Amino acid sequence: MNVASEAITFPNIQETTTSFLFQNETPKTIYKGIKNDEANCYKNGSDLVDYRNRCKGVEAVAAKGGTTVIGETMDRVVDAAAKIPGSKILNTMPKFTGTADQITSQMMQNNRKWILNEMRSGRTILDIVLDAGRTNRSIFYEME
Amino acid sequence: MIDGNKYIEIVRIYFHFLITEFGFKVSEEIINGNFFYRLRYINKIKAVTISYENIEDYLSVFISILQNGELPDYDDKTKTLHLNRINAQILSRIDKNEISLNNEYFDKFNPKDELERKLLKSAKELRLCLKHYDEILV
Repeated sequence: MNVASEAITFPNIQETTTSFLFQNETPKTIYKGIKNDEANCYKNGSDLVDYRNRCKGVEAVAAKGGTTVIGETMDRVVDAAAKIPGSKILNTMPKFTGTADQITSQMMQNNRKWILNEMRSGRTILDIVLDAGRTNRSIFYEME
Repeated sequence: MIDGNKYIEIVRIYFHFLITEFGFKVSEEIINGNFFYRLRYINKIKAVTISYENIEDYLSVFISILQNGELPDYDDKTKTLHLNRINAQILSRIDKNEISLNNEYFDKFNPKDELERKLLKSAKELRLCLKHYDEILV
């Protein structure tokens, strides 16, 4: 087997995984996508073991199933999720206090933490993308 | 920035005509922290949604034409009609006298800030749109 010049690292795996999740692929597909490129992903045996163990973990979690819906404009997200039994959206935002900037910052952090948790949970992320009818882009969706 | 309960209270007041004049009833009320608020009214053939993304200052008012009692896809522009779009279609069909009468109906309200002014403007436009709903060419 060919040996790549660059070692695989967890940040690299995370970046790849994130990218595939945004394309609405299931974690199983992600594993296949990474595996196909494995010759370019590791340089020694220990790296390979780590990488394979991590992928098995993702697959195991994926078995739990469920869909998390994200997209621009909450109306779209709420209504899209209502048509998918068992789906989940960001509907647990706390009531933050402070100045407008502080509240925005806290919401952004909460949103970021939430989407990372959803991605790590193994649930399928359904991205209904941008709202074509919206004139101002959502900063929260851009972050997601 | 507005509190969710305050938003719902204002919407219920300004859009009360939906219940008294057009036979709608409240079908859904959402307060998601201070992030997103929504009130939805529904009757046998359509739904009216008045939602607000607080931080984004994004107010949205739209009519959904129900399909066998179910809400259509939000992105289906033939079934989800945004107020600004249908308002542009009907304004030219309405005489000034009717617009004045409609404004008089809302004279009792005193909006206190920019969002309340936007909500009141939307309520005025929506009332006219619903009165001329059948004339709207989608």
